[in-house]
Amino acid sequence: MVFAALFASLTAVGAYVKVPLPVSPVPVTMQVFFVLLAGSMLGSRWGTISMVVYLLLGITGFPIFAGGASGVGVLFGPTGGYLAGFVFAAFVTGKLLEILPQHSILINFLCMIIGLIIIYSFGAFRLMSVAHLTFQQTMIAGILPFIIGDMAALVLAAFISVRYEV
Amino acid sequence: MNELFFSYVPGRSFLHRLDPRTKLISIMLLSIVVLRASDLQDIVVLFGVFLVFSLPADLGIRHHFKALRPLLLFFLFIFLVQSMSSEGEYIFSMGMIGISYEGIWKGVLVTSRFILLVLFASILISTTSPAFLSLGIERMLRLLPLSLLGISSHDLSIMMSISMRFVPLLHMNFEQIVQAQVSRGMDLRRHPLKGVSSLMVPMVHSTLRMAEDISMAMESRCYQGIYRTSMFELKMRKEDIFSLLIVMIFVILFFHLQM
Repeated sequence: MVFAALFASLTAVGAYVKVPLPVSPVPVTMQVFFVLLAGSMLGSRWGTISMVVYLLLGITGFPIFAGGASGVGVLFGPTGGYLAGFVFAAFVTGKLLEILPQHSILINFLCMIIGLIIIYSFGAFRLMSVAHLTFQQTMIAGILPFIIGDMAALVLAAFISVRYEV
Repeated sequence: MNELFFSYVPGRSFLHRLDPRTKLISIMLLSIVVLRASDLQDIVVLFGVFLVFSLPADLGIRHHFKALRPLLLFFLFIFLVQSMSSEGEYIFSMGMIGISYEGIWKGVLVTSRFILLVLFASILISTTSPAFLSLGIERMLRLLPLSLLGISSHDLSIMMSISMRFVPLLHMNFEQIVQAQVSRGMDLRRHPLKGVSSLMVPMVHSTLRMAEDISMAMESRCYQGIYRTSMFELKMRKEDIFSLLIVMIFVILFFHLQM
């Protein structure tokens, strides 16, 4: 439980370690790294709960969403899909790793990629419907810019989740 | 940094005595307003509101501005990025990037919105003790159907207040590790990769240990989340309803004027 709280606050801190891209409305953050780490280290149940705690904190008004935003407005705004995706991604990544019998960096990495795809699809879908973009525009604005940075973060996350046990 | 930013300051002022629920709801409303602010007038008005609300806290404005200090670099960064990334007539340009009036304008807007959010959160945190804060959150969470998730509102509220506490702790921890590694001869500028790894490993280790300590302490005090009683019961008094009304009137006025 305390670890769930820890990962919620780590995700909050991860929102501040960000590399904004001028071409896209969605900033690149370290959040994905912590979300998937939470899913893989805490398992499906507590990983999900830690993300719910993170979202609740944001709704309460603390400036912890990416770029220092907060409130219900962000959750329903164009980037809200990514936030909703966090909860499901942590759940699926945790579930997959619970089903699979043995863990290695590669297996963890693959499970995290599935989680990443979930975050992206939620985010892109929301971005598409709110900002009225076509599919290709969404890909260019909402997914492609992040892939390289997120992949590097995932390798690190897979490494940590194998090395450290909670 | 001797003093933790975003920490509770004990006191008996008007804001200290308000019900935590009142303060939480007010902050929620105000943060919606802040994110809607779209021109200089709005920002000035909101800043005035902040000054008015911070008066009864008896802490002095300087205390709240201290909460901003660790974020200064971040503000500067947001400002620069915002001002470079928008179109308009360039004041000066260097190759691809240039700074336009519109850009500076947008940068000021976004940065000041962010500053206001931090300031309002600082009022809440510094006038509400962590125990009361989690109690207030817990009461508000009871309205949600949490049994679907398989978790009680007590658990959720205590996790929220723990994670709020973790943020300054993580910051302090990081500073300490940086200083420790610098005194062991770390040079981030010369070997950035090596430096990052020599910061990350102790960081991961010490955060995990911190969480383990807390869970051990909770275990040994027989924490259980199903049902708990609290030492202080919350009561909505006249002042609470009064101050909620003021905030609501302000919010409604704000949106009305913006239309």
